[in-house]
Amino acid sequence: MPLDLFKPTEYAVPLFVLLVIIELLYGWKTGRVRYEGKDTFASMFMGLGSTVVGAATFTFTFTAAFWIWENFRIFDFGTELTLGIFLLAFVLDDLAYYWIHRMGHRMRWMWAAHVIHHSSQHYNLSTALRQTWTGSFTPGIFFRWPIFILGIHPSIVLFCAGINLVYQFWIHTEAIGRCPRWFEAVMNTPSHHRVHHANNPRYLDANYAGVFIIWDKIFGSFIPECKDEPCNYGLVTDLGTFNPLRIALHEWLGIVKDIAGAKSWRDRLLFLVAPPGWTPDGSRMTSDMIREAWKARISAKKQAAE
Amino acid sequence: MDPVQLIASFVAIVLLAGVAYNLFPEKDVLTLASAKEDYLRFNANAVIATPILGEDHHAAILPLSTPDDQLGIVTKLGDRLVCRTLQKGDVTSFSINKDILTISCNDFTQPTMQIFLGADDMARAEALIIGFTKAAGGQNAA
Repeated sequence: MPLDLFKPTEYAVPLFVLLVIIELLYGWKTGRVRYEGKDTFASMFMGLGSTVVGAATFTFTFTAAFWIWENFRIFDFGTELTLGIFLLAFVLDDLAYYWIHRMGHRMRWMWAAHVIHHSSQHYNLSTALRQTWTGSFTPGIFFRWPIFILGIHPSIVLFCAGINLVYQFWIHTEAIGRCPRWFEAVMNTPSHHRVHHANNPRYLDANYAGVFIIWDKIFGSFIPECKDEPCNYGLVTDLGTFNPLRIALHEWLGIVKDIAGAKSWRDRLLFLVAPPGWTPDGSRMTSDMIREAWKARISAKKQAAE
Repeated sequence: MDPVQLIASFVAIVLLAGVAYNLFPEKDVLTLASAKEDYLRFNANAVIATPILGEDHHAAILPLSTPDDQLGIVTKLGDRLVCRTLQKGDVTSFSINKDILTISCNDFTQPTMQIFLGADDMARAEALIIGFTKAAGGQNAA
């Protein structure tokens, strides 16, 4: 049974709207933030759609999580939300989020759902709301299962996941440069997350953290924002549309097409689980290939200058 | 989800997007320099030959001398640019209606692109596009 905990994301919606309005006015006044009507509509509509789909699939995901917790838990942390349990659950959920997010960029099946969040060429608070409609249809749902098996109640974990999402809202902005050094060292910040949303070869596939940036530092995926290289936002191949249905489904359609045209079962499987951009003949580029090509260009330029 | 809440949310989204639309009107226009710069960021190894810029500054065709079997297209999407590299056969069809060249591709997020061109540029663009159109060939509606 779900515990009687409030849903942080629902309570935060008025705050989200207020902060978007404040950022809009700040950007209009200072020119430091840019919005665009159609892009803003697409982002926020994707957010609304995500809420609707999330509500529709919640029963399934929660029932599965509860079944795992009820039948396979090693310890029993009880059903009461104490400070100790909350802190433990929050840190473990953030670690799980890091790996969900990392796989969301490294496995095409999960990227098909997550790509939506990266499909805007703008980076402002409305981008934070551009959320997936299809996250429940990926292996991402399994990454929190170890926490349930450990014995923390799914309601507590999902409550923490909600707070995690609310935290991530404010880091989608160009209005804030750098935070104090100690904060940048431990926490995910606008600067770190700008890098994550950038499509510059230098910045690809970095800074997957939700709340604590330390996971990226521990697992080797941290790249700091470089003053000499401003972030360019969006996808490696940007979408040519603001149509929400096309935004939500384009990568799924790409996978279906690729699998239909694949010559072997190995290729079919790899079109699902290999990194985005993988093809049997190397005719498209993965982020690793793009970064290597960029490094080769830089090195060739240096050699030519010497 | 409560239908009233859903409708209210949708109305709020439309209002906010409307405010954004009015506070941030599209200012940037596509120029040859910006088209080239953005395309080279997208396809860094390309060498661009003489490009064709749409008269409304919303799209540009970038013939490539390297690799010479590809064609660059840059289009405006709001105040941002979207780049595509076409290979032989990528154009499923095209049509010319007075000064509008419409290119259709097998691309789910950008199925058609329109470019406004003068007579000379149109002839050049048509010759280029034919080379990238599927065997059936293009359709000239003019």
